[in-house]
Amino acid sequence: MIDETEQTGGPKASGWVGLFDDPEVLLRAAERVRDAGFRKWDCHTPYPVHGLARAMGIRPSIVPLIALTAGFVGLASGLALTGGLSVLAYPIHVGGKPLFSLPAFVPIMFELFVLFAALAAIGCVFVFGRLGRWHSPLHDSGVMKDVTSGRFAIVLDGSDPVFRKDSARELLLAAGCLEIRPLIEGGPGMPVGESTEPHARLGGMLWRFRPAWSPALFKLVAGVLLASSFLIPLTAVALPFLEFFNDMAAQPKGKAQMTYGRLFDEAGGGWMVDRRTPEGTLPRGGETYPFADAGNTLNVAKTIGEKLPNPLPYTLENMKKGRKVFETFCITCHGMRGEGDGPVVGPGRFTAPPALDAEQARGYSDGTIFHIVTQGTEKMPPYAEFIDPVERWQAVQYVRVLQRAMNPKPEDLEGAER
Amino acid sequence: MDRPASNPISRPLARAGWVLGGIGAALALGALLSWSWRERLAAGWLWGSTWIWTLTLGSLFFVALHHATHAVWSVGIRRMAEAFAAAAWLAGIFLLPVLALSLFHEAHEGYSGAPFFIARGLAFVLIGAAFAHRFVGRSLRQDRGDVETTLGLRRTAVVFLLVFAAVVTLASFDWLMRLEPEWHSAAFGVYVFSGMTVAALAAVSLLTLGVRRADGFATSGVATDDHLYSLGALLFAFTCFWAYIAFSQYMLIWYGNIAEETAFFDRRSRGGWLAVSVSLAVVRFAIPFLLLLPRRAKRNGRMLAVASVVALAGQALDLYWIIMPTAHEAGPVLGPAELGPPMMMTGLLMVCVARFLGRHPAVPEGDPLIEDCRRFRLQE
Repeated sequence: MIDETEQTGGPKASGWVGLFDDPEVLLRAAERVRDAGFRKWDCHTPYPVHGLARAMGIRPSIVPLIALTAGFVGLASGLALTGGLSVLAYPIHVGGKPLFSLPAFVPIMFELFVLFAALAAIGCVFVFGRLGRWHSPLHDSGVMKDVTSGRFAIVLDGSDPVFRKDSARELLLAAGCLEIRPLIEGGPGMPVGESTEPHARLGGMLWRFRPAWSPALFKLVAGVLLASSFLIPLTAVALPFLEFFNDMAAQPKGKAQMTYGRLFDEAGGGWMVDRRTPEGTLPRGGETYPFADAGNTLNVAKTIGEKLPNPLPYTLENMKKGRKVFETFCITCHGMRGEGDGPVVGPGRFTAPPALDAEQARGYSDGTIFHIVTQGTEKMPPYAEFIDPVERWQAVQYVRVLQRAMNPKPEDLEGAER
Repeated sequence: MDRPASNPISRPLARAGWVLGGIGAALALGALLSWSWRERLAAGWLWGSTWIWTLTLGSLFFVALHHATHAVWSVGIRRMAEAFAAAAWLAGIFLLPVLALSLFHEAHEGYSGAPFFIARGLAFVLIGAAFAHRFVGRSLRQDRGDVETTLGLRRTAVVFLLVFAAVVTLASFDWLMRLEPEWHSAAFGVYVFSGMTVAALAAVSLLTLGVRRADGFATSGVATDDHLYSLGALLFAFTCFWAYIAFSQYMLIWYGNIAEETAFFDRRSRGGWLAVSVSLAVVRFAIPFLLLLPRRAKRNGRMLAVASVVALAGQALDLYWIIMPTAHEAGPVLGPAELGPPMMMTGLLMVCVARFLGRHPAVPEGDPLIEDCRRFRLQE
C-alpha cells in the first residue's frame, strides 16, 4: 500500500502524507505531531476545522504587524502625497482654506492606509505562503483530490530536522491515519504520464519547464510591486517638476486648474498665480487686429486712423459705457477730464501724458485714438489685452465728449433754457 | 416552575446602584434648591436622560440585531442586553420633564410646537418600551421551552429595526439637535445612532464580564474567550463606525464652510470647548481603537473591560459635548447640577438591571440555539 513508487531511479519520496476521514481524529493527530516537535508540516482540510490552529501549535502570525506597519506607511504616504501636491506642487487656494488642510487630506490618508495594509497582506501570502510556486508535490501524490472531496491530510516534510522516515510513518499510523502515501518530489525525472489526474499532469508539465529560481522570481516580482507601490506617492510629488516631452502639455494657452507661472507679490502676501493672457493668444470670440504689426509711433497711428472708421454709432449709451471704461483704465494717468493729471502723474512718478482736450488730440481721427489705445505709443503701454475692441471704440466716443466739454463754444448753449 | 437562583452579581450591583443614585439624587436636589442653578440642572437632566435613553435603546437594538441576523454566538449573552433593554421605560420616565419643559417655550407652532413635540416624544419612548417589552417578555417566556418564539422574534426584529431607524433619527433631532435651532445636519441621527450602539455594546460587555467574573452564568460555556472576541470585535467595529460618521459630518461642514452649518463646530472650538472636542476624538476613537486593535485584546476580559469603560466614558462625553456648549458658551462646567442627574439615573438603571438579573436566569436555556452557542468557536 505504501511506498510502491520509491524505486531506484524513480521519483524520490520527500515526506509522508497521512489521510484521515474524521476531523476529530485529525485534531488529535495534529496535537501528537505538534508534540513530537515537527516544524515543517501542514494540515489540509476541505473546510476550516475549528481549533486546528491551536492543535497544530501555530504561533501568532507576524502578518498583522506587517500589515499594520504598511498601513502606517500608507498613512504617511497619503500625507506626503496630499500635502506635497497641495503645498509644493500646486499651491492653489481652494475655498479660502489654508494650503495645508488636514481634514481634506484625511480621506486620502485613510484610503492609502487600507490599500497599503491590504497590499502588504497579499505580499505576505506571496512571500510566506509561497503563492508563486508553479507546482507542489502534493499534486503528484493525489492528496489535493482527496482533500477537496472530503478527506483530511497531514503532510510531513522530509526536510524537517525531526523527520525520520520510519518513525514519522509510525507516528502517523499511531495517530489513527487510514492511509499513508509518500510525498513525491517530482523533479525533471518524473514521468508525466504516470499520474492519472489531469491537473497533476499539468502540474508535472509545469514542473518540467520550471526554472530553478522560480520562487525567487516571484519574490522578486512581489518585492518590485510592493516597492513601486511605496514609490508612487514620491513620483507623484516629483513628476510635476520633471518634464520629458512637454510640447503637448505646455501649450501657450490658459487652462483651468493649471499654473503657467507664478509671481511673487510681497504686497499680495506671497506667491500668486500669474493669470496674464499668454502672448499671441486670442480670447474665445475675439478678433485679430489687422494693424498689429504696423508699429506704434504717432505717425503710424495717424496714417492708420484714416483707414479705420469708428464702427459704432454715436449714441448716449455707447458714450456712457465709454465713460466707465475711461474711468476704469485711463484716469490713473490721463485724469478725470483727460488733462493729463491722473493720480500716478507727478514728480518722481509717471510722466504726464499729453492733454486729451488739447488742439493736437482733438485733431486725431477716432481710428488714430483707437490705434494708440490698442498698441500704445511712446510712454503709453498697449491696452489691447485689458479692454476689448468694442469697449475701446466706446472709450474713444467718451474722449470726444470730454474734448467738447473742455472746449465749450457759444453754440453749445443754444437751446438751453436760462 | 422553580424560581431561578439569584444572580451573584445582582446584590452588589443593586447596592452600588443605590449608593450612586443616592449621591446623584442628593446633588440634583441641592441644585434644585438653589434656584439659580435651575437652568444648569435642566441641561444636566437632559444629559442624564439621553444617556439612559441611548444605553437602553442601543441595547434593544443589539437584541434586535441578534434576532434579525439569526446570530448564534450571542444567544448566551443576549440576556445581558435584555437586562438593559428591559429598562427602556425608565428612560421614558426620565425624559418626561424634558418633554414637559417645552410647554414653557412659546413662539413655536406646528411641528415645533409643544403639543406635537410632546406627543412625538411620548411616541418615541412608548415605541421603545413596547418593543423592549415584547423582545424581553418573549425571551423570558421561551425559557419554559418553546421554539416558535425565536422565529416570531426574528420577524419582529426586522420591523423594529425599520422603526428604530426613524425613532433614533427623529428623537435625536428633537431632543439634541434642536438645542441649536439654527443648526442642522442630516447626519446627526446616524451620529447619535453610532455612539448609542458603541455605548450599548460597552455596557453589555461590562455586564457580561461582571457576571462571568462573579460566576453568575448558571451554566458556563456561553461567554468563553471566543464569545468575548465577537463582542469585542463588534465594539471595535462600531468605534470605527462612530469615528467615520463623526469625521464625515465634520469634514463636509468644514469643507462647505456655510455659516449656519459651521456654527455648531465653531461654538465647540472656542474657549475651553476646544479641549473637550479634541479629547472627544481621543476618548471615543483613538484610545478604544488602539486598545482593541490587537487580536488578543478582544479575547482578554480585562482589556475588553478597560476598553468598555473608556467607550462608556466616551458616550457620556459625547452627549456632554452635544448638550452643554448651548448652555455654557464660555467653557465646560461640571458641578452638582450637571453631575447629579446622570449619577442618579445611572444608579437607578443599575438597580433595574440588578433586579432583572435577580429575578430571571442569566442564560436563555430555552432558546433552541443555546447548544450551538456553547459550541461556537472562532475559526482557527
